[in-house]
Amino acid sequence: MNSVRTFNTLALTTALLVSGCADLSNIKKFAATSADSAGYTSLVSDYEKSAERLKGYEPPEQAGQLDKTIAERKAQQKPLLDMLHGIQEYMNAVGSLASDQLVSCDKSLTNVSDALKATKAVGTNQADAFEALSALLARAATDAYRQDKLKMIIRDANPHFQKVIQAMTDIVSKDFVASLDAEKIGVDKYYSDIIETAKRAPPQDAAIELVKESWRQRVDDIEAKRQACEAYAKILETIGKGHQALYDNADHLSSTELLSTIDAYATAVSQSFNKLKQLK
Amino acid sequence: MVLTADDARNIADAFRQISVAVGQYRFSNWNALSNSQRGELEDSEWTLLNYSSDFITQAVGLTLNDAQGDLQKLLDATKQAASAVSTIASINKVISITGAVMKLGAAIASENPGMIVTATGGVYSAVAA
Repeated sequence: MNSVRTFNTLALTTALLVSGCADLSNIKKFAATSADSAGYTSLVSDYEKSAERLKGYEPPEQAGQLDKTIAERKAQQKPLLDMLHGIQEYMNAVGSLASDQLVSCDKSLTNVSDALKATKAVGTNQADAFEALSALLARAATDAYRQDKLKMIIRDANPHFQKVIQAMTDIVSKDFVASLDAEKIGVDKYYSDIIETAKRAPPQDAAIELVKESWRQRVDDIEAKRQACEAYAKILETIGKGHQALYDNADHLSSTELLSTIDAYATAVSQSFNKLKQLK
Repeated sequence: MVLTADDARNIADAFRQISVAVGQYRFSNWNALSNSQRGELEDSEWTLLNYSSDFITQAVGLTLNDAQGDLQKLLDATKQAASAVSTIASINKVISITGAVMKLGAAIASENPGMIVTATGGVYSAVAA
């Protein structure tokens, strides 16, 4: 009789504890999509190539001026990639901590339950009950630990995360775009010169049309890269906003409202990233 | 005076705009300009554009420098998160080892050599996992 009462009390306690166990899968989803997007490095390598392409449009006596710029941009590749990898690794670590698989001790506890049965110190039913209750208790304990850690890490990291995200957003949306704008100006000058010169040596109408077609193609290429930069900057901004929402609600990481908001951010990042990949 | 990233961006933008304006002047007054005048204007257009590219590069460098301290703090936070994941994973491991040791104890109590060998292997696997 006593053992039944003890079992019931334990079951009730466990049920209460387990009701506090959180499903953080939306945070894991947001972290995973953010980490995936941060791994997109094409724009970084194109930033260097943009100066090289511009050099190709310049008269030889001017083009040498760009050698220093190209060398500096080459040297900037590593720190730029380090920034993206820093964001990626951080989001991967947050995702691992938010993973519900992490707090599942079920497999390990099945082994203990089997061991208990093997000792024959307890009956099979009691061993099964032990396994069920222990699984719930272990999950509740590890879940509380991970939520505390997640809260602490998000709080500590947020100001630095926001600055790193802002720095990369500025670089992509302002500097990479400015580099493409400079390239377009170079392309326009190059083709305008060819056409102006051809106009004064008629008949060149057919050749001029061909040049114009080639010009349009170059401008379209630059515009596509420009759009990619703008799209990527928006993705970075969304990642920053999502992390800010986690920071603002760090005491309620498992609240339905927050998880729904985070899910919306995860979906927005994922959809924008898919569109960005199609732009290429 | 220290140049900030935004200063460098503004200067780069100004150089680009002047380069475009000089180019527009050259093309609008093509016939009125001599060959050498056109050549000089064109040279200055490219030089202005190259200065603009240089200031864009400086803006990136300054932004990267400003963010280095924050990047380091972010990497520290990443290590903390990885350490918390390891701690939780080790809890699972302790439970697994406990189960394996209990099985070994039961096998020894049964005095069954076959069970003892299997259970010993189980302990080894749990520790090595």
